[in-house]
Amino acid sequence: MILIISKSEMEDTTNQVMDWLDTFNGDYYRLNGEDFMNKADIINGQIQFESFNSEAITVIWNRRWSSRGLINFENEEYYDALGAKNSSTLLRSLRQENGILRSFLHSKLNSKVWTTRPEKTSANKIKNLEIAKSCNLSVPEYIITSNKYKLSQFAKKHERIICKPISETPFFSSSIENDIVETLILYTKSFTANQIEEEIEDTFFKSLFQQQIIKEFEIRVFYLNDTCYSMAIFSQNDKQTQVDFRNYNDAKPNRTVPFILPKEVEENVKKFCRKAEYNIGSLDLIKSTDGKYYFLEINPVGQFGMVSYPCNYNLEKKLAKYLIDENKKVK
Amino acid sequence: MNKSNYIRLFANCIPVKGAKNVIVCDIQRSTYFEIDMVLHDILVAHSNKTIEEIIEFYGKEYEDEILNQLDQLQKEELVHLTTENHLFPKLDLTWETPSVITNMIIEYGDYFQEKETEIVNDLIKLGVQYLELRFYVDVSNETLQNILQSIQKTKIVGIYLVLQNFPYEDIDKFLIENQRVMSILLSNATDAEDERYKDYNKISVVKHKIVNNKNCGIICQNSFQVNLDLFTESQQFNSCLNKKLSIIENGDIKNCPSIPEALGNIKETTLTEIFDSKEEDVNKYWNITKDQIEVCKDCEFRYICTDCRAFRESDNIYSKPLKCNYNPYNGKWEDNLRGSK
Repeated sequence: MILIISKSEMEDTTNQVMDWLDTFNGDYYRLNGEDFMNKADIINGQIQFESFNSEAITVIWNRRWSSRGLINFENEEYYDALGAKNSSTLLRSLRQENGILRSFLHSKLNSKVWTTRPEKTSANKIKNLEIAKSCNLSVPEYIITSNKYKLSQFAKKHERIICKPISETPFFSSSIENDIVETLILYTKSFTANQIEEEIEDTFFKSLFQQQIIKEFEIRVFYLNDTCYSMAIFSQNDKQTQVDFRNYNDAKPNRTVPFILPKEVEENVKKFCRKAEYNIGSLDLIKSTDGKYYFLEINPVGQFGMVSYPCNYNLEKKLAKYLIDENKKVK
Repeated sequence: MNKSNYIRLFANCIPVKGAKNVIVCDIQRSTYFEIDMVLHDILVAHSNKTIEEIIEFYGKEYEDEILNQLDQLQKEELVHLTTENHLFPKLDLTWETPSVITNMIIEYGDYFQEKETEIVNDLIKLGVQYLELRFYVDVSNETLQNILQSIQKTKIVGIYLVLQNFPYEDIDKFLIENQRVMSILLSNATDAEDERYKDYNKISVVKHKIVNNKNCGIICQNSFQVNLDLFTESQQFNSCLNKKLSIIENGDIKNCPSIPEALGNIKETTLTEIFDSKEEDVNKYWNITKDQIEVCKDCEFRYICTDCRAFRESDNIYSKPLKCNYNPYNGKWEDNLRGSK
């Protein structure tokens, strides 16, 4: 049986892959993180979940976990009962409880085939940059520092530098009015050496800075089972999307078209995925104006709807087929 | 403009040639542009040449004109320059769906209550994704709520309602609780209703009464849709009838409500039974593409307009849709719709 680990809301991609699994008469079960936390019981080492028996599972599409946070922050009773200081302790404690339960689920399923192994779901960007280098992929020069002087030296060496989160991009939300919630995203930001001189404090929270690569276009690669499906994103003509294409221009979206990686680059990308142990993933690359292809990062539980649809690759069907084939292999 | 580069249309800007005119369908940004025949040849027939080689082919005296036109296209973001022509493939125009039936129209009738469970189960089996639910009579909120409730467990992602009355006091609440309702058409609307719903982009009102399915099949520029789904589906299949099924008010099951021939009646059979036993009748029109239809096959709009087989110019199954007044041979829209011949 194929196990899909996903979440209950805002997951069209999971639904679309399931539609194809139905067409292929696939034997699958969808487990949303919410349901594991709220409905499943663990009794004497066995996970009781409807008809769920971990023995029957062969392959796992590790997609998402939960749509909901562990604390409903709207509920002010938490604060009243504990005081604001303790709410972070509560959150940490709930996180730990949740973490143990999840890791028990993972250990139960440890021997199965995973699209993304549990310990690989959040990428280590720094490690990955080093692995990419060892696979002959070009990577932008970078520095991780909390020191203005060192950063200044680095910035002077390069025309412009960018700053981005070392782990995943956080999404902040703030309620403006009752029902309207504004989302704040930490986009990648670009600086000149002068700006660093003028705008930055002497010390700051340790951050990742990279040489800014001037791009001809960006490339998003969805890697699935040793095949690369690539898309070129022409984000450089639009000021709004120049540094970070996720800062979408909805009125005039960036051109996104199918792309074929040059043979050598493609081989290196595949080498990287094998070496870093990813069976699937979304990789970000840049084709620079000086003709080089730079590796930026990989998202191991990769978004692929945004590549699949514009390029008409039908990756939802391809992933469903992959899961069906893996399921047969193990059986 | 660097003349040693190749010039390429973005893969989602696709030229379509008609008898007289050529358009570029921008299926990413949902619009189209007319371009002249020479420019079409430059972009299509000479796509393997660099700009330099193109100029050489047409003659130095046309250099300025060619560069001007290409510059214009680049400003419109329809083309890009590249030295690596071979790394930018054409868009694959295959259309695929996991559904047996993608769209369904159900006209509410006397048959419905008794058959509801059976119909909903078949909606799931057939993988229906979009449902148009039509009421030609007033509906109570209880009836409507029950139907929407039972549809919840299907794969339907979008519901289109045609109503004679809107039986809810709180519209906002209704729309929030029924997220799959994409759009509502309220027929027979009063001025007060018109005023009440004018700020809702999901609700449109018409003042006349929609009482049957004879209004369909009109083809005009406003009904063009430039998108990947329609463009690809119409390469291989009929752009109106492929993978569509309907149950009309009296229970007759048809490919399209406006087509005379019924495949059976829901009181005597089920949707899946019809599909399994009469597949060839069900999909009689599905594979008729615009490239096979008279006149349409010479029309530049053939992959962005929806076909109609219910109302057509003659008994010939490949004849032109009756309610289209465009002439691709002179590129003109005639003022009045032609009557039936």
